[in-house]
Amino acid sequence: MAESCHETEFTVSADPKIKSVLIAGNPNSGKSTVFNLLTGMRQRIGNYPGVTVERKSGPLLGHEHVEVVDLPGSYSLNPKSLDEQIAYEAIASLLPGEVTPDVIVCVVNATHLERNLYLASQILDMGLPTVVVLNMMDELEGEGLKINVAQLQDELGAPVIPMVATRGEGLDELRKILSGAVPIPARTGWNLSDEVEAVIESLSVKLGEIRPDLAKRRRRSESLRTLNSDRLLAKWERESEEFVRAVLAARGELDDVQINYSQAEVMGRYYWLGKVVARVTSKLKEVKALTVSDRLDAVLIHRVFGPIIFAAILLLVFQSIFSWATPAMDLIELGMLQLGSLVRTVLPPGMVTDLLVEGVIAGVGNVILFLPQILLLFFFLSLMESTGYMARTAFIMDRVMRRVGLTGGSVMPMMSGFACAIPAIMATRTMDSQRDRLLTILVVPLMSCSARLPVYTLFIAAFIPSETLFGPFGYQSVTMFSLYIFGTITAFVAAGVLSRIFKGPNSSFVIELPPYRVPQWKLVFWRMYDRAKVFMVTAGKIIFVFSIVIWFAASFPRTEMPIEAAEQREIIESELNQNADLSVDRTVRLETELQELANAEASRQIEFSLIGRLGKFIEPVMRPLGFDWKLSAGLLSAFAAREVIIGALGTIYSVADADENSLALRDHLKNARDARTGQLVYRPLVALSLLVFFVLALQCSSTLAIAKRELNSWKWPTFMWVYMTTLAYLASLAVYQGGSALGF
Amino acid sequence: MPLTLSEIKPGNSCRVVGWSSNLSDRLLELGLIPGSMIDVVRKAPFGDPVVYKVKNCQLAISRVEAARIFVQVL
Repeated sequence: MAESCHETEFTVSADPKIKSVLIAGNPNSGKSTVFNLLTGMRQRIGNYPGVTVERKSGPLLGHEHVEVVDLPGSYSLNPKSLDEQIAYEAIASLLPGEVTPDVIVCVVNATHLERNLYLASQILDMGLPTVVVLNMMDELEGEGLKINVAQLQDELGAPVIPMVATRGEGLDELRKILSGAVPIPARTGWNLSDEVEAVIESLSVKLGEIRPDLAKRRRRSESLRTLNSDRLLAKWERESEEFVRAVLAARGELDDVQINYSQAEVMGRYYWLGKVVARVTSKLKEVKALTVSDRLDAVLIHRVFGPIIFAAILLLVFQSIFSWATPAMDLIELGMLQLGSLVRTVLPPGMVTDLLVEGVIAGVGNVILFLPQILLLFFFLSLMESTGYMARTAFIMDRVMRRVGLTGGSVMPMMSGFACAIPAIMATRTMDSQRDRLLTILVVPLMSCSARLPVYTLFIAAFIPSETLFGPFGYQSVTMFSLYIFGTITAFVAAGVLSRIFKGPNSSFVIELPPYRVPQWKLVFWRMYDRAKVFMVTAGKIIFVFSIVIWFAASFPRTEMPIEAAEQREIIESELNQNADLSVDRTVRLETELQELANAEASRQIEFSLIGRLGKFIEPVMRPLGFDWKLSAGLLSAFAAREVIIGALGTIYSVADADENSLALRDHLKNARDARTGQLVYRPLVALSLLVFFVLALQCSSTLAIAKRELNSWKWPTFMWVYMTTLAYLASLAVYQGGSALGF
Repeated sequence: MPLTLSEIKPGNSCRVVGWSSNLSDRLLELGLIPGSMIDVVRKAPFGDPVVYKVKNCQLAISRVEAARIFVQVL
């Protein structure tokens, strides 16, 4: 097969009407930018069936019947990760439910030509119509290099389109070639060693007997892949034992003569590619040894400044998330309240209106409430990714994270957990090892998210003395800080423990540091919008349903108002309605009395309701933690979303419209007395126990929903809930029992 | 005994001459094959991994893995 690259002219593919275009390429090759250009950013995101790999597709602009699929980035067709395996199987049409690709667009980073052509030549070897996109031609000029495109096209035996995808340069040529017939590539000119070649030859013959439908080049390529990859061999086990036996025999044969078959392909390809690259590239001018990127790295990943700058950036991100998101969140809360009162004025009072206002609108509000934070967080994450800083954060923190069985890639998701576990879990998609990703998802909800903050605020303000401890620090702020630290440390310890349980390949020992780039704003905003949509749809549905379920649980069964209270209400109402000339003072007093009656009624109702009963039912279990039935019922209602406990306690303690800053609710909690003993119900120790419970427990239905979506099964979300709740229970138990024994 | 890549200090360049058998194939696929030139760029703030320039790409490789690559200093 030597020198075969010049033998064949481009042959025209049989069907000129293409229907499926796959975009393949190395990570950081600009693959997604090319995808966005071709589809006009109209992407549909789904999952490949049965796995957690994201499937990104969209219609080709101007050819709506053509589906363009953005494959996961890969370095090689010998898959090392699930993402790479899916990319290979999509190209080789081994995926159930996926059509045979009509055209492969292989995006190549022109500045990393030799390394990127490794994958490109593997794809060309499959014998499918392929277009090679030579991207980032502008950066090439900056490095003083020039590529002879016509000659490269000749060497590869496939059309090569030079592009600057970020500026849309070369798009017309690419679209033109895609709308016509893309030729099947000529055979590339690299060689295996004779011994390996002989083995591949006989495996191809064997495969031909089993799968006569496969073209000759596909059989050869598949034989080589299966010889090299255990992942692909495992796949064949289900299809043909015969082929698996043949591959194992071939491996044994080569092992016996001490030939490293898995390296034969690498050597052969790079030996050929090295010559090709030398022939097609020429140096235009000498450039300075240090690029802008190198200069930036000298500071940004400096031994001392690197971590300091990273910490400062993190601080800035969180500061802006909290300070910019808060006004928007307040506005959303206000809007929801007003929408509720509007509905109440329009609709007649009754069950349906209550359901609409307290169930549906409050439920939707709970979803939208987190939108500002999620948008902001994803804005910053996309910005870091777009500029190339994200890979540096992994690089800086890798050593530290490895201590607890994670890798540098989990740093940003873990930190994002301080804002909200949902975007944090979604951010784990950039991690290449499935095991590391699972571990990160399992511990991320231990980071104190912003939904815990209102709960912390209420209980700290009510029970922790506001005196100063030392210097500018008071007991309250120290408590708050300790809660955050406690959650973080627990997350790291949990990661350390879990990583010992899930032994597995920790594959991310190589991190590619792409050069810094000016962010592509369009892409940054697009990603932000896209992630927010995923949140609204996935988490939204669950929070919405849970909010309604909890409303029902708190409203049913109904209880009748006691006769005296009903009578009293009637007297007040009649006085208000009949006496038009009541003094202002009197009116205010009567209205206050009415409100108190309504609050008392709501409180009675919740005690009588399913959630109140459940609270009483689990009280014996929660007693050792210091929680009475009221707190227990509050905890149950907080399962939908943590901050719901505040409204629920407000109802239980007859405080209308309670929020975390409500003085009335604070006082009610502080002064609540046991009906029998007359003692204070909540000592500061109880508050501490409750806070510890909130730090550790997974009371967030949307986190579970997102984890289910990302991990594609309920197994891990269930595990996550069980381990975190157990941890929370045991820790609260230790705090309350320990504290009581010490006399607090 | 040849030097391993993990022993080369930042600022130096070397050429790959071999590797120990437990080296991941992925590093070979990323271009760390015999004859390849490697520039040692810089250590991570906490000492590990180290950035190398291979075939014009910057790769951060952990010390454990770098110790499996044998090199000759230029």
